[in-house]
Amino acid sequence: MSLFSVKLMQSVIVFFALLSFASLANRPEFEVELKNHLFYPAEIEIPANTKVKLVIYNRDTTPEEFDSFDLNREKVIFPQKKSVIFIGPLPPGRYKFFGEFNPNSAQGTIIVVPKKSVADTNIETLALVYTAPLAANSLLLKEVLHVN
Amino acid sequence: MLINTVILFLRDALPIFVISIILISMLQQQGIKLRWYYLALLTSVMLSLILLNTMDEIAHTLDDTGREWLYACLYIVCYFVSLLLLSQIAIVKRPLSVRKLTLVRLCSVALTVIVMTLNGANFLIYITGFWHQNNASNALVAGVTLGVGICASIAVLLYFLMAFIERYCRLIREALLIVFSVGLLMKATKLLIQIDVLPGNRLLWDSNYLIMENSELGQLFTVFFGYDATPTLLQLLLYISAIVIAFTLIFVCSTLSKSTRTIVSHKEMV
Repeated sequence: MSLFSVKLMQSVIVFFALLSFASLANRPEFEVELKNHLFYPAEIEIPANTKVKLVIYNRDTTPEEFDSFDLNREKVIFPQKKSVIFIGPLPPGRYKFFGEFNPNSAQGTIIVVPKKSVADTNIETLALVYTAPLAANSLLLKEVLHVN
Repeated sequence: MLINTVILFLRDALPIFVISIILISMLQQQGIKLRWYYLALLTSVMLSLILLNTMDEIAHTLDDTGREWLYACLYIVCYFVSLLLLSQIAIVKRPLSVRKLTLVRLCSVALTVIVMTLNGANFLIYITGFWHQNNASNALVAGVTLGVGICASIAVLLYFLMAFIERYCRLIREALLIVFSVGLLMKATKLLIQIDVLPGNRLLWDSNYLIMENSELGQLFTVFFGYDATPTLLQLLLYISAIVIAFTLIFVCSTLSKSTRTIVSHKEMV
């Protein structure tokens, strides 16, 4: 094998190793179960603009194919086994999914909800900072009045 | 269950019929007999059965992403095999050497076997999973029969359509093979996005309101040129690059072939 081919192979291996690091990243995890050709829960809420990991358990004795045209995903889940797919980042909205082998019964929706905005978080923190001393003061005042 | 079987059969079997017709027609043009196809058919059936029995284990390797890795890698291989095949079949009509003919046969067998095995195993998972359910076998047999009829009709139409269009556009078979293999490449990217290997950022557009991806027309477009109603920027760039690379290769090979012929004929004259 020539030096060029060895280098090429090494580059390909490194490229795929780097790519696979993406899947090692921690993603928020959500679970859904398939029982009697029905999804439980039928509605799953996930945060907007975030890539999430969806673990699908098939509790039935027949295979099923998780399919969604809205999410652009399809994956076979073998009987009594689990499967993993990644979805998102998505804008807020409702995204339908179904079981390709039992499309009439196995149906569900992924609801993408907006994340709590940064501004809201800051306001909550400020509110806590200012209200805590006020509450302490009022307690002190009550105690003083009670003593008097 | 009958309608569902027909739809699933079309989804999995139509690519097999399309690639078979493109390759059979392409190789017939080069004077290659059909023996390679029988070999590919037999190998595919055996490999599909093996894959069906091992798919469960494969799917659970690599942190439950084994099936995606296998399918994506083989679809990428299909694209490169198509490029190799196109580079061997010269656009200028002339008899191919024995070595080139063997390579053309090998590429065709590899392409057919990969597409047939992967799609065949997909459909067998459905058939074997539901065969023993109450009254399912009748619906399954009827669905498969209807599906075979539809696919065979499309295949025959495609064969004669290619022969007809060839009068006006000589590159029709090559062009069809390119878009088909680029479609497989798109499937590979879709699978790699699904397992978080490629970034699946915001979708560029949603053309489901024009052609629904799950409609009959959508399925047909997906098979023929990898139609995706909701592509990402990466997928679009890859799609365009793959098509440009393939057509450039054809152009370069035909130019080289022409220049070689001119040199040879000039030497003969001298």
